[in-house]
Parts: sequence; structure tokens; C-alpha cells
Amino acid sequence: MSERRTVDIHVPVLARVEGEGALELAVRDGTIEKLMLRIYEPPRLFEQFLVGREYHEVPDMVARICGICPVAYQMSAVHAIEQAFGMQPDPWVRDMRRLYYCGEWLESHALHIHMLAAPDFLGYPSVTALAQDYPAEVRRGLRLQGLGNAIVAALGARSVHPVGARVGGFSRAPTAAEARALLESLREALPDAEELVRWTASLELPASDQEFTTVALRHGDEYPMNEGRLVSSAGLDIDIREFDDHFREHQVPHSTALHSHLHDRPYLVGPLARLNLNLDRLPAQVQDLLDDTGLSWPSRNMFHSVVARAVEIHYGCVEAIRLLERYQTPTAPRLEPTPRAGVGFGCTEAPRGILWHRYEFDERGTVIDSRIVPPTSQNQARIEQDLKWTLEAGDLESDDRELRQLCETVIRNYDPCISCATHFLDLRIDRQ
Amino acid sequence: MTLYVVGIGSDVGDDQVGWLIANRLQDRRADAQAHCCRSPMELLARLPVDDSLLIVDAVRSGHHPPGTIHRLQWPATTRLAAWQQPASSHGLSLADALSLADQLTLLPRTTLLWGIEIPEPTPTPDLSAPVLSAVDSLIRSADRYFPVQTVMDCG
Repeated sequence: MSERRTVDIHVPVLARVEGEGALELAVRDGTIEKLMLRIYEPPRLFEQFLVGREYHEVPDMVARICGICPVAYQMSAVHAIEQAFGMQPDPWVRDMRRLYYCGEWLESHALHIHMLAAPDFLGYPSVTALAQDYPAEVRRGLRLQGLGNAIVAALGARSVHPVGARVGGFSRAPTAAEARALLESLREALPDAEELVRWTASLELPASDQEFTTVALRHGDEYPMNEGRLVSSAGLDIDIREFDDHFREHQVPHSTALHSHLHDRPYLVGPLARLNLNLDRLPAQVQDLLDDTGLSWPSRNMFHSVVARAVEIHYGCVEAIRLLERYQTPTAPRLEPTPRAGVGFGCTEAPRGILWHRYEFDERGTVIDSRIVPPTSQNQARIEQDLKWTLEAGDLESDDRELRQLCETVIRNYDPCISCATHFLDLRIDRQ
Repeated sequence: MTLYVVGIGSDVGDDQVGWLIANRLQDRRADAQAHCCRSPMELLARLPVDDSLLIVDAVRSGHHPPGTIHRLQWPATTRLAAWQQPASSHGLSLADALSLADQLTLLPRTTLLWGIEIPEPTPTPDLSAPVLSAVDSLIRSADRYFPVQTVMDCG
């Protein structure tokens, strides 16, 4: 008779995720006794940095929160500020904000698929090792990421922490020649994007069939990026202003990032949630390719997130081509805002899921209060739920190395951006 | 034959020394082409290059005084720990980026890496005196390592 193993796995630093986190797992008598995704990066306090700053400083400041998804931070912020000031972006600005977002999805998703996730699914320790056997695929990833960076730089002046986004529009409009060059690059990249969808769908991904609630934006007639209502697979359908009526953030002792629940339950945000909830918003060209993969959608296999990212790269190319084919240089790249006192909300679809902002301004446009709810903090509870499900569905008697690899694969599959999420400090002052 | 000079850094303080040298070499030599990158990941997007690649970066080893120049030829970057660690968890270290580029056969025959030791970074517009003094020395070194084909008259 064999004794059941006692397992203590401590992953002190998670590799191939953005930021610094850790995992603690304890198994006693075949039962998970402790499972904690620890996020221990110091709080970054961005929300407090913003208080007292002028509205026009906000887009550049929030772009510093993340080196991978600065566009998302800028877009959630400018939409919230414009709502507070009663502004509507003009059609050119609206188009360019979608183009800007296409760039970010391309660079972020291409980085994740090729550099972070593919080594897990193909059994390599790193992208450099993967490149020995899959050089063409890694080169494709670098091309797509570079193209995403080029789109971001065209509107943001640079690809890392871009500075071009402004309340009311952009600092500068791309010239017609720059737009044509981007369009040409996107047309050349389209076969890469199509092949990427087929490649990710052909990967031997772990089987997984879990029940979970998905949350994403949903727009009346387009795949969501900057606008829409908040919807869920459980029937939620609300204005973004109503976020606090349904979602609750709370702190757990093992994380400097807040956990978030929808109606007291974990939920998923990100590409799989977005795709599952917006399949009918994909253009026919993208829908056809998705159908050709033979996978069933909406999917309850969390590992199909990698396919969803590839689909969004393909969509990003198709959408960017559509926007650039009708590109015209505007008379002005932005509308001038008129500050006023008020509260504004912004919620956009960052590569990792919904990114919700709320700002309150005084009559001069000075920030009185700000709140930022990033996607990774929203996914934390869901990641722990997924880890528990996956471990219990698998073999807890596996050796520590295999269990550790499995846990890391589950976590990386969410493409967590831990640096974005750590913005909270539980400050307790004991005054005698 | 083209000399590709990639400066890694930013436009602030001593961190700009890589960009400054890349741009000065491009201004001075008809055969030089400068690229200014903020991270080793961006370097990957500039590859492949055909001829010679010179990478210039500010480094802080903690073992050498500011202004010290490190001259290495790829793949001998293990001697400089500063290039083994990524500046951010969002990216690759310079050594990892070059390993990947090498694996993908994106590197040219000759890849040189020059690092300039900088003091504690400060958000000032100018270079510190010891780093500034290293700039002219490195420009002259570039002319020796990569024989000048055409020197432009910069006035």
C-alpha cells in the first residue's frame, strides 16, 4: 500500500510573466491545503500620484504604469476624462484610437504567444531554446510584434511609454505617406497573422473544461476596444458607470494587488472572455478563419486563450487595414477640451482584459480622486480557481517538477501583468 | 558596407550616451546607420543586418568608475553581468536578446558591444563629465575598429 505524498511547492519567482509574483502550494493527504498566487511587488500608488495633477498630465502618467499595455491605460484615461468634460471624440480620432489599440494588441499578443506561452506548450524552457527548432515561428512573432510597435509609434511617437495620446485626440496625425507605409506593412503581415491562427489552433493544448464566468465589453456593431457595455456570460449587461454596483474589490493577505469578484464570484477577463462574448462581432474574414480551425466556440478550455490571442492579432491586422484604407489627414488631430467639475468613467479592452478607470475633477480639471482597476488584478481570483481545478483534475501524485511546470503553465496562460496590478497598499496605522 | 550602430537607452541623463554615440557616428560617417532603441527587445526588430553591428549601451556594474569603457565582441558578453539581467521583467536582457538573434541567424559576422559605466542615474538633460569624456574616445575607437570609408564634413 502506498502512502499519499505530501507536497510543498514554493515557486519563489514566476518566470516568463510580466512583473514579480510567486506561488505557494501545499498538499496534505491528497487535498490542496494551501494555494496562493502571491503578488509581492511593492505597491506603486499611481492613483495617489494622479491626485492634484492636471487632466492633461494624466495620459502620459498612466502610460508609465505598463511597458506592454500603455495604450490601454491612455485610452481608458482619455475616455474617462472626456466623459467628465462632456466631450465626444470626432470620427477621425475614434478611428485612430482603434488603430492605436490594434497596434497594442499585436505587440502584446505576439510577445505573449511566441516568447512566453509557446515554450510551455511545445516543451521548451525558453524562447531561445524554442528558436532552435521553430525559427520561422519565432521570426514571425518578432515581425508581428515589430509591426504592432510601429503602429503604436506612428500615433504615440514611440512604442514604449508613448506620448502622443491626448485628451481630445492625438498630438500629431500621421502623414498620408506614413499611413500608406503602415497599410502596406499590414497587408504584407496578413498571411503571418492567418498562419498564426492556424498554428496556435494546431498546438496540442492541455484538455480543460471548466465552468467560469466571462466578462468583457460589448459594442453594438464592432469587436470591442474603446467602447461598449459591460457584459458577462452570466447575463450581466450594464453601463460602465455601474461597475461598483456589481464588482467588488478586496484585499487578500498574500497580494499587493486587489482581488475582484463579480457578485461574490471570481470571473475571467481577457482575450478568451472577449472572444467568447463577441464572436458575432468578428468580420466575416476573421470568423471564417476561426471556423476553419475546427475548434468549438465559445470555449471553456482556458488554454484556448492562446488561440484567442492569435485571432485578435488577425482581427487587429484586418481592422487596421480597414481603418487605414480610408485614412485622410485631418485638419486638426484633436479637439481642445474645456475642463469642468465632474466624474468620468473609462473602460477599454487592454490585451489582458477590461481596464476600468474613474476620475473626479474640480472645475479647473485638477484630479480630485482616481481609481484604476487593471485586468490582472481582476483575474487573480480566477487564476487561483483555475489552479485548484487543474491540479485536482490532474494527478497530485506527480513529482514536484511536473506539478510546478503545470502550475506555471496555468498562470502564464493568463499573461498576467503583475506590475500593472500592484497598485494597492493596505496601510494600517496603530496609534496609541 | 554599412556599419549599423544601435544605441540602447533613452534621451535622459547618462542613459542617452548610447543614442548620442550612434547619432554622432551617423553624422560623421557616410557608411554608418544609427538606430536608437529603448530596450534590447527593440533591437530585435532592427535585425537582421548584413555587415557590422555595433551596440552601445550605458551600464552600471558597480565595479568600475564612471566613464570606464567595456569593449566586448559577441558572444563574450558573460563578462559583464549588467547585460545578463533585463532592466524590466517586461523584456529580455541584452545577452538574451542577442542569444535569440544568434539562434535565428539575425546577427552579422561581427557584433561588437560597447558599454560605458555611468554613475547613479539622474533625470538631467546632460551627460556627466566622466561619461562625456568617454564619448570622444569611443568615436575614435569606432574609426579604428571599423575603418572609415568616407568621413563626412560636419563643419
